[in-house]
Amino acid sequence: MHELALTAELLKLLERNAQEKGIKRIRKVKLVIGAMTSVLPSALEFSFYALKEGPLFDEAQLEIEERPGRGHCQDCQAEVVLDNWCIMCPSCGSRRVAIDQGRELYIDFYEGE
Amino acid sequence: MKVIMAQKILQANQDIAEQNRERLSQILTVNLIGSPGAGKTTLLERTIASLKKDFAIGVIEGDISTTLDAERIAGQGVEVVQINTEGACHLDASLISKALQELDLSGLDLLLIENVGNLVCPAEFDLGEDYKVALLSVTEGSDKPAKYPLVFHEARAMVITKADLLPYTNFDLKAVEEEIKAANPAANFFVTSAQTGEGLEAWCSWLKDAMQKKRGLSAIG
Repeated sequence: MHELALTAELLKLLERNAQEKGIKRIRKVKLVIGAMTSVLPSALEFSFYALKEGPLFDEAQLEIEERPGRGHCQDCQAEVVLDNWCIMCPSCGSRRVAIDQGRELYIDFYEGE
Repeated sequence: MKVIMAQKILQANQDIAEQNRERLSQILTVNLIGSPGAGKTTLLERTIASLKKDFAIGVIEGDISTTLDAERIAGQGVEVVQINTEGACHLDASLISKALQELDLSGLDLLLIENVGNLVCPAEFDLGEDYKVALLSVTEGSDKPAKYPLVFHEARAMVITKADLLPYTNFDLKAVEEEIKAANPAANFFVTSAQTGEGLEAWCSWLKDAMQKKRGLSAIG
């Protein structure tokens, strides 16, 4: 449900930036969403197409890059692939895993004129 | 034309949270997060009853609608502001910023923020608090930290509530404590019951220590 609030924020950020740059139509928006955020890409995508309105966003398409979760074990230093928030080192079973990647949630770029 | 933004979607929230943090530099601010019915308001009532004679306490109540919780807290004789999120499932920094304008912050020692009942998104939104505190009632089941890890990962303290009901549930207290301590070694762990009063003294004395630390820091700073 909070994807709606996030999308409203996303559209505001884009609108402000486009205004500064004198861009009248946005064609494509590229987002990066990490696996370790509680943000569902599909819900965000739904919200984007539901909330966008006006000539600036008429033709705007959303592209989402899902960034997998990665970390390292602070006990045995093993590299850990993190998925669905199950934070555990597969080599030694430790729960002390530092998250190195997967908390991203940002607008990478947009294209328009 | 391609415009590289590399902008965090929650940056605006983060910026306002930092402003809130500055305004609250003298006041220990705690963000209470837990499911609906976990006992957040009841814990607040008991906490306020035990601390209000020595400390000035303010409360921000977050709910989707109604002022029921604020009315309960107002009954304790402390200053309270109700935020109705009108559908949103979490509080964000700008809602707190508005609520701070309604509160008399001068002389306040402790600000308790009760977030909307939800274990998922409140953890994503920095409000400008010092600590997040996660509540878990024994009737919710001991699998919740595994299912909703972000909030338990970020919380500085974890409060188990309704401990008087332990004999009637299959809640595995030891397993939960081990799991929380393993995943989040800095977290303080409190087992409480508002009915019997168990654990409330330890929880309140942690808050007192934190208030002292905060005042010490701001005196130096």
